[in-house]
Amino acid sequence: MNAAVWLMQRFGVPDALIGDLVEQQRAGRSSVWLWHQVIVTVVETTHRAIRNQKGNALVTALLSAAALFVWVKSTWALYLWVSERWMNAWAAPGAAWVDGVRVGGFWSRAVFVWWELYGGGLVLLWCVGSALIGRVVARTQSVALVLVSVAAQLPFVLWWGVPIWLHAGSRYGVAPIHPLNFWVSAAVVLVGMPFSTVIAGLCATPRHRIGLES
Amino acid sequence: MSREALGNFELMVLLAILRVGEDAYGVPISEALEKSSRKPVLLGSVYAALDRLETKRLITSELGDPTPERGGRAKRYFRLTGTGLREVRSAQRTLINLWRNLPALEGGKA
Repeated sequence: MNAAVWLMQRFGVPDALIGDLVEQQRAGRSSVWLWHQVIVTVVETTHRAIRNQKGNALVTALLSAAALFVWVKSTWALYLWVSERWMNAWAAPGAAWVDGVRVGGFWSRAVFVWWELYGGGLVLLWCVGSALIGRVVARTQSVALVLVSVAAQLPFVLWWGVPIWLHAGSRYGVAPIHPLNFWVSAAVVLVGMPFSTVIAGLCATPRHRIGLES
Repeated sequence: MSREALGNFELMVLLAILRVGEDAYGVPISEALEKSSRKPVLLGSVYAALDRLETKRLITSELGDPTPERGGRAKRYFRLTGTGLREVRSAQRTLINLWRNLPALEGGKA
């Protein structure tokens, strides 16, 4: 029940409606009934908020998509810069080629672990950036508009994530040591970024705000 | 206020408020709808209709006192405005006129 109330408060569901659901559940309604009601209520409230603020929703979606685009492109550029230039420069003589870069020596291996190990560092950075964008949007707009921003980022994530998935390992023309690395990276980009945005947005949104009331 | 703007579910909600009377807040309204339609009713949908009706000034609402069984949350009581009552009467006349002399519906079967 607490989770349901928390969720509804974050989505700006009116207190009177939350009270009605609490009263009904305490009167003996089942958990299945409650969650069915909660999901429909949240969807209804969000739909109403977006319909009432079409202009804000559109601007929020475009700005957050643009911010996300800049974030991913810049971290990707940094990744290439570090992995292809610094790592090759730091590699010890006779270093081995791994996933398109030369790896050998302590510092070279340390950077490799951070930037290459299963793509974890990069996708983690993307998720963190996505979450930060979600928090900023949620503080200035509403949870409903955070959802709009997530919808706006999905085409971009698909454009970015699906190719990683489909062309796993072919970037350097060599088979990766662990093809699973690429699939994990693509899965995190496809699912992790939108998920991070929503969770961060929900946590950042105070109760009883939002302008969801019609 | 045009009658076209009053949807079927909104009319049902207005009638449920009238049926419940003084104690018309979300729970008894949805129970009255469930009892009449014999179908499960979603409170979120009821509140969405109530919000639309309030925007159209067909109903008004006021908050009651917070109660412990609702986790300290107040009930929101609804009642029809004069305009709302006129709309219900008008819809009733329209529906009765449309219903009259329909062979397919005679005997309550269709």
